[in-house]
Amino acid sequence: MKYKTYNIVILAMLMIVSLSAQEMGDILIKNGTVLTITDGIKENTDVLIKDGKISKIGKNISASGIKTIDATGQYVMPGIIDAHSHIAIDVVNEATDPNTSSVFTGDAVNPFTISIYRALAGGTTTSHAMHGSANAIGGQCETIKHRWGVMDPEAMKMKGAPRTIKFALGENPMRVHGEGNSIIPRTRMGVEQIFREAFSKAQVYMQEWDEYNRNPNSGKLPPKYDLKMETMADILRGEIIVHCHSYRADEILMLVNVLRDFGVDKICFQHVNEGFKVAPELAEYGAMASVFADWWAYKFEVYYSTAYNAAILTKNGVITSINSDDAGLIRHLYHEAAKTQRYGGLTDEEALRLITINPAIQLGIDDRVGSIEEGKDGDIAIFSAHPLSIYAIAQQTIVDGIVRFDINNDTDDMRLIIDPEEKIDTYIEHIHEHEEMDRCMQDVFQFFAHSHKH
Amino acid sequence: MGMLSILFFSSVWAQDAPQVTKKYFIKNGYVTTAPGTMMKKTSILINDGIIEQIGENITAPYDAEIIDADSMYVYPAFVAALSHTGITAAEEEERPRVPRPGYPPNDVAGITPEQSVQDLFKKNDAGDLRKTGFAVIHTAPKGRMMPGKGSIITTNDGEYPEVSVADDVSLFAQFRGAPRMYPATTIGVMAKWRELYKNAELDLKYQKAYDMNPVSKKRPQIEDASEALFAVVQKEIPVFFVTNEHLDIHRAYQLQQDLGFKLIPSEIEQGYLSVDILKKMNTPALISLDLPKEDKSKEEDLDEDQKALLERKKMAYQKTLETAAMYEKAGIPMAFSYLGVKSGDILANISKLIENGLSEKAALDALTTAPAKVLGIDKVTGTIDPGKMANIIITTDTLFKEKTQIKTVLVEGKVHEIDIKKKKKSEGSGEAMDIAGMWKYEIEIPGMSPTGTMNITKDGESYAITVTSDQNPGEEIEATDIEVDGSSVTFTFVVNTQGMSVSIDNDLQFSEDSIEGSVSVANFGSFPITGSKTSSPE
Amino acid sequence: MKKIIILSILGLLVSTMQAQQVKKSTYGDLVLQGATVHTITNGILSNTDIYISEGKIKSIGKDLVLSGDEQVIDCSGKHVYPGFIDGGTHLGLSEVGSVSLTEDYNEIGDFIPHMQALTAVNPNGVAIPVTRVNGITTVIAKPSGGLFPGTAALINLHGYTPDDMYAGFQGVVMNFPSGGRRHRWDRRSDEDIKKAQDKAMKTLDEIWDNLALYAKIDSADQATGNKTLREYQPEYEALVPVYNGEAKLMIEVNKDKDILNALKWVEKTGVDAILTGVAEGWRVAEEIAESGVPVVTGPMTALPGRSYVRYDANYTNPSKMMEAGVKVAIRTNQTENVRNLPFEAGFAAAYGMGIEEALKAITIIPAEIFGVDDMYGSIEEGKVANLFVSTGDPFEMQSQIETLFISGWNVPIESRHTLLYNEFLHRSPGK
Repeated sequence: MKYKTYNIVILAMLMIVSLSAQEMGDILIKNGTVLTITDGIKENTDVLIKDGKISKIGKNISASGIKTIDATGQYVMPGIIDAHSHIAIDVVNEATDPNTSSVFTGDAVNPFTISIYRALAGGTTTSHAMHGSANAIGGQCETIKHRWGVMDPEAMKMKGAPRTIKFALGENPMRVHGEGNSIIPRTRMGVEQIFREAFSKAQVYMQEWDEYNRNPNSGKLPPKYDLKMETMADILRGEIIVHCHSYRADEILMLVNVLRDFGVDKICFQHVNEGFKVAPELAEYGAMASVFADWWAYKFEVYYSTAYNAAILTKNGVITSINSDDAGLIRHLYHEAAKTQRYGGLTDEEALRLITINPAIQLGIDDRVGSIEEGKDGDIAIFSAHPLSIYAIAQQTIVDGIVRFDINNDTDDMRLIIDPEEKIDTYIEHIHEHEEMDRCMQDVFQFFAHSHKH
Repeated sequence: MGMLSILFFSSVWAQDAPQVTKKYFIKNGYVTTAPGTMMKKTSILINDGIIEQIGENITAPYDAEIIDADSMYVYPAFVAALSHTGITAAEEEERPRVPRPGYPPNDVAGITPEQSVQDLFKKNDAGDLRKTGFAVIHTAPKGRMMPGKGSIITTNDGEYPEVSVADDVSLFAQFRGAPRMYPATTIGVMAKWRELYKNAELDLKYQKAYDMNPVSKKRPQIEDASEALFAVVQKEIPVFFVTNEHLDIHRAYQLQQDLGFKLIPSEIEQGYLSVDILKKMNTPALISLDLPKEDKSKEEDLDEDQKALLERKKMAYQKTLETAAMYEKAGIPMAFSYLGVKSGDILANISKLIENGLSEKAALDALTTAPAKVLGIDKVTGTIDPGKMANIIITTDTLFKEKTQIKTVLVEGKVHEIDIKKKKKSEGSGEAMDIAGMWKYEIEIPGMSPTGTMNITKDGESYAITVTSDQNPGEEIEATDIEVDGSSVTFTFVVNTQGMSVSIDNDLQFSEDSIEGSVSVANFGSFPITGSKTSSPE
Repeated sequence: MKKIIILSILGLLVSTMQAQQVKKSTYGDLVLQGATVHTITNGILSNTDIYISEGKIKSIGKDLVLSGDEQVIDCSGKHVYPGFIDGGTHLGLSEVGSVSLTEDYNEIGDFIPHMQALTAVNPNGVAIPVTRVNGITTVIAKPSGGLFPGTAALINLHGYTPDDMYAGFQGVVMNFPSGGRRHRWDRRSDEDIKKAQDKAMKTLDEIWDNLALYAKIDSADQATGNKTLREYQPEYEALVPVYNGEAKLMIEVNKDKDILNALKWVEKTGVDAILTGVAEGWRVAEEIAESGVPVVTGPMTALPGRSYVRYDANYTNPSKMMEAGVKVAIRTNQTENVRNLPFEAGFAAAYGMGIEEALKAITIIPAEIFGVDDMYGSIEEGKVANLFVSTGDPFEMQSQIETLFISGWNVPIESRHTLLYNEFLHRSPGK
């Protein structure tokens, strides 16, 4: 058995910790097959990253005094982006009300979660740390970069990324609030009214504040400050991208109608298993879709699904991504994207877009990540083979020009911190496959365990 | 002597003899007036709870009671920066039902900034802290995210308000959500904080405008919670935020940055990770003295990767002990907080911090001047200076030495003599009790119920136990791993039967003349055991 | 008039339902011509024909002579593989995960080895066609739950009745008492876990002692032809063949120490065991190899059970066990996504197992482990015609499975997923 001595473990840990001081780096990747995504495939090409940004793409680039990676025979692609995950946050669901737009997963970022490192080991450099789907209007979400090694949760955040919020339709909010607490919504009719009520009240709220702010020193009684209404108002102002957990075609159309009525056009449907049924409507509204490669049948609202969803959506002109929603899948999104080639015959470029530039567009960060272009962030994944091959293995993963995963530097126990009182022989069985299926409902079980089974 | 008579006597002793004078003269001690100083043969005159004079050449007035401190050491008494002294936790329903979990009443959700210690204070249970050298304590209500306001009290016995030094000096806050209602999680708590705070700002602004000129204005109707936050919004009082983990510090700081209140990160347990952020925050930090337990697993029992893990755990443990030293080096002002630590462990744990690099001066600072400053009472306590409260301790040797005992604690001039006991090995809270003697036992194993005797003898500090079995007369077995903690006793003995060694673990609770507890017999399970005393030792 | 309307509505319903219905399979003599045949047991044969008749592989060879009555499928440039076998699934026993009344794999009780998975297999489960179109022809449908949750069955993914589908192996399932946490929200103390494990171990020992007596009486009865008056005890009845070594016991066990305990228990009882799960097999690979007990492991894509092990601990698990000399088959442990079996094997191949061994791990090895290698697991004359035609390496997702045979039936490459694709790709063409 190959165990390293602890000295190496400790050394590795110290190495990682010492990385934390630095957040932007320089690196030269030599002679790889570069999958730019937006500008074709470039054989035997170098990529130079300076101060965290891609500064040059071309042949025979030389730069002295900086770290150089020989990528001969390897594939260089932009860091993979996951538009739907729940890793790196300590809280997923504040499952206490059908509308919790006041909360923010960014408050619970945990840079020490081992899932971050494991995601890097599969080439994933950016993820959308979302609130769960217990509430029709869930919390605001955080777009994070996998800067494994930083001690400051703020340093995990992708500064400047647009604000996003989680909405959720269908069974989850119906079960938690309707079945669990006997309050609306217990049906999809009720779910619609949660949105209509919140947006309508927000319009009144905005008006009240506009009036107050016209002369804030008049001594008039100010309206009550309501953080939920503040968030809803910002959605109405177009400052927040809506990401909506959804499955059935009818509920998807319902939300499109609601948003149209309130003039909200930044919408990306999540999961959206029956999106394929209403692909033309989605394309027409400019709604986007972030889907599972093949998850289905774990509950009734995903029974009429097809693994060809991404292909149908793509071919109908909907900007589509493949997401993980899971600490396991986020480790091999490149395989999940490849499934669209089995199920629907997408081209290599179409398939790769699903995990790079498309999720970047959905998160509003496509000006910075999602392709290998000069001026973009130095987020790169290097694979041993074409990433859409089952035999591809991530070799190195780079975030902002800093190597955050290196297969040759991967030792046992890569955790950054440990509890001095933790038990040392803890093993977790993964017996219940469906528990893995719906991370969106994490944290809900603890609160509502009495009222239903998952 | 039965338990009853003990109780009876102690209640008689609790009634103090009337004092003759309010003047005390601590004579000829080695006096540390403030951390880092030491004056020989120095005396201190105290009058009516206030220090009047300090010096080598002062003489005792005729009407002063002399406290002879010759070859003794005199220090400022300690100040506890945060505790729950005198507070009984409110009875909480485990799963209270509210009709709309998104909008529970504030008090059910744990939002009671208007609560004051003066309304909650039951009984001053500061006696244990006083024995440990504390004269002044900041105590805060218990609860969830915003339990209420803290007060400063003395450790003298007494009721409210006589023990109170200052009321409502702080807001106490935690990242502790409400059960199955908003705010249930850390993100809920933070959102709620923002909303409460903003509304308090608005309410305050309106209240001020109304106070200036109420004409044509609607009468302000301000919620209790909002009004209670006015002092926080105006930065008149700081928020003591429980931040056990490194990330809690970041989260509290995030709130502070968003809102602007005065923040004291408190009860820090994982602080070795937080040096950078604390430096940036530029605030005093309260380190928890509730130190983790060291894993004492023996390496030979572990496989290779477990050894590596054990090593990492030990590193983390080590780092925890070095936290205070790291802060000292980094110039982060620090004091301790006492929400989790047992009073009996306080000085021992500080000694561990000193063994791991904390200077004695910084340790004494963290016990005296630093908390006084954090609490804004450094004008009246924290050092031995004329005009300050006579909060003084007298010790048998310099502080932090293992054998040093606190002999006398003066709290606002009131003298408390501490019985000097030989230090117990264990830091259990239970009163030590003599278990020596001959005991009969019966183990309730269905169909067997073996009986026998235990002969417990005392040898200096430690006990020896010999076990016999009626089923196997003549054989005497020596018990091992004997641990005595007050009246709780655990030990193990091994029975050899049919070529097998069966190990029997005993976990017993002794009272004056009976035993109750359980024995676990190898893999066979755990069984009740009872017993009674048959004789006392000769 | 009303009747006509109702009838036409019914007709509409039926026709939409038909749109969700997979076409009927066909049966008859058929030749796959000019394929690259991955026999598994006899290497890779290029430009080779396979003659399928009466459900069997009748002959394999170059330029087979035909009678002219056979259907011929040109397979030049195509690859033929034996049908893949998944050594552990809930397929056929579950319809919709969260709707408990459609879930048939977890019966009440801790000691119920007599519960028969085969009984509850629904031949028309929607997930079955979804699975087989990726080349999976045969799976273990297993119960799960307590200590002895029932008896698993090997089934082919085509047939009108469970008996049609039955593929010749049944095994009693046992969940070996675990020292691990059930899942990440299992908040039991370590002591409680230990206690529960000890208690389960004790129960197991008691069951086995009773079983010994039951089996003794039973074999005496068999020998003498008497029938001792015995209470109805189906639990013991179901275990007698296991006790006598005539049937296999599938022992689910994952944690390293639990695996070692299970091996000890197997040695003590002498049962003919298969270890399943075995997620931490890599930690005790040599001990497993030494015991000779075969393993059905997976899924490789599950998260490691410990936060401090390497990220690829599960990916590399099959190859590490294989290198140590363990006989390793691969399973998905899935329900509706058993179709990922080739990708699980592909993962194992990439992470050290190699393509050839990974192919074996989902064909001939599970066939051997389940004792059906005379019928399944390779392309050999006389074996059951479970095979498929692929445009390329079936582990690669770019390859397409074009033709599939199960027990000689030519099964259409259709499922709800393909039907929905066909219907909705261009929802309103020409509009």
